[in-house]
Amino acid sequence: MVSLGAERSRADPPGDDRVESISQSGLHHQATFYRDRASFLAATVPFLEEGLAAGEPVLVLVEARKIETLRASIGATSKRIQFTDMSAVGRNPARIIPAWRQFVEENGGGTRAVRGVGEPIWPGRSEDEIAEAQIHEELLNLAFADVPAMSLLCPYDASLLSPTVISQAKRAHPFVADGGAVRECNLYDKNSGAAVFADRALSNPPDHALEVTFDDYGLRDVRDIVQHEARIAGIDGQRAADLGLSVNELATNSVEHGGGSGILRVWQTDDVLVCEVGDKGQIDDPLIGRVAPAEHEVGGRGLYLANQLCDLVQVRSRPGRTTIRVHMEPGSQSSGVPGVTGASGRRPAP
Amino acid sequence: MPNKVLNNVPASHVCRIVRSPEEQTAAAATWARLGLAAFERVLYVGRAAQRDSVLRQIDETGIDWRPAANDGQLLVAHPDELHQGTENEPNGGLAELEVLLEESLDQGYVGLRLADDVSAALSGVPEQESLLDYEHRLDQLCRTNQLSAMCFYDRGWFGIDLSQCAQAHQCLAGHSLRAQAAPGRLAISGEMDFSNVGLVASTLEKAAPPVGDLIVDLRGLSFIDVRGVEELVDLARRIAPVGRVKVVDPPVAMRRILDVAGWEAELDFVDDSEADT
Repeated sequence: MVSLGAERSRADPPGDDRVESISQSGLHHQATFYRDRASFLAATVPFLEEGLAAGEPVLVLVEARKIETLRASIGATSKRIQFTDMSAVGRNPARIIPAWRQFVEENGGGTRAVRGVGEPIWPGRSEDEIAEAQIHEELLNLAFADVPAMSLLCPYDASLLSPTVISQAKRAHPFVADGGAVRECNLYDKNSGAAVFADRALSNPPDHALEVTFDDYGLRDVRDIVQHEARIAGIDGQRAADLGLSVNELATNSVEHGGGSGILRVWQTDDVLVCEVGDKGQIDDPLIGRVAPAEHEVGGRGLYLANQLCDLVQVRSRPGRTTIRVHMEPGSQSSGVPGVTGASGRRPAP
Repeated sequence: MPNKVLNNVPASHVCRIVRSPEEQTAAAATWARLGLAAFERVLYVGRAAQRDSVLRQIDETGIDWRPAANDGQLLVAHPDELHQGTENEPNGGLAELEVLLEESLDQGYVGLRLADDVSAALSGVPEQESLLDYEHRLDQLCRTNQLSAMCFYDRGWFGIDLSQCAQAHQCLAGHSLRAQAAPGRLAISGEMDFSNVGLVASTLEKAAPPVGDLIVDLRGLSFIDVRGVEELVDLARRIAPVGRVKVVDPPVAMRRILDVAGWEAELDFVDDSEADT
């Protein structure tokens, strides 16, 4: 493998030129700030039509209502756009990068230019969800750094979202689109993505949280406890099983990669059941859990599974300490499992 | 409440495979502490150094073991005393254990609880046959008496089939994974996860038929994790040139894992009637 890599780099043009050309043509990640329906359409429709005119594959990930608005506004050619409900795929923002990846894979695998609109943060999302969606936005810059040509427009509702959300959006986007003009974003922090898991603090678990330590022979107890608490919280059978499986995989990662043991904490908030797995390991790869399992190194599969099955997953890691929280909302139906919500993009919205 | 859940070990002859002395110490201390609290007599069999760390660990949980040691509720023994065979009983001192059990019950204890460091007993190259014989007889004793035993095995051992050793017990540290292979057929029951998936690997290996399909009966399997499913998918890929793996009644978790990982096409699913023919 090593020698193959060396062969390839010798055959390629000199390194510096190549890096330069990739950074210019790679992911064109731009934010746009709208205030109403008209300015939302003014920002997105010309962008989409430009892509259609150029024959580019186009994917739009926004809420169902906005999908209808866009379809009505664009008309017949909107049939060539793939629409997917962001409130399902992006319920857990960690599922969005896999959805974009799949779109790229299914459309030339990086050999042709592709285009998309994605709105991961909309008014009404909880604080925890917004924090994860912000991390997602930063990770997009890393995840698609090597894609030859991908234009991604992220609309933000500037009239309803808080000023801090807006300024954070500017830090995560190298470009800002404003009324047809695209300029470089001077607030963009190009180093942000790599350290997201270390930077963002989580709130402390409440004092009443149930707390148990486990090792490899405690995995069954971990599953039993989680399923029991899920039932008490009113989470139905299938989703209680999904939560038990997800936490089992995170706990297994603690046993295998996090020093042989870990701590499980479980508590309920007003809205969700939270299960936290903590250990002494460290996660180096910020894109862990956002790559399809087949390509995963050990440890990544479990987190990918948790991302697909749970409503929200929060990963935090620094030297000697990793904490992962998964959220499950009682009564919620959302799941990113391909074929269940159309996360694969194969089941377009009606 | 958490402790109650974690310490609820449902079987009385338990195999515990450990990777380090620390892991063994922690598990033995918990096992012993439970016995003391339940008014059982506790016999710890292990090396002196290990024994001291077990006692220290019990101390750290806030329980004073000294009164129990003074009363004779807590006994310690060197492995040679239990495992070194004599001419009359070449496979270890189970007769002595039976005597101690009887005495303990006479003295009013509700039972005898044994923490047995098997790896400390067998210096040099242990013999699989005698080890299995010892475990089978201990298992019988546990099934028919007020005796419970946790046997510690070192994961780093060479020359010992840990899977066979584990199967001589009623369960593997609270887990009840069983895998049985017959021609063209494999049945797995219990719960399969990271802690025990390696123990059925040899059974899965043997299950692959030289030709034809393999029925994998999972009716008794209540849980399987990603690694367990990977093992089955690997098995399916191995036999793919000659046949298919036909799964009967997989647990919910398995459907989910296959779905998310995109492995569904690797396996076939059949219903119970087809499996029984």
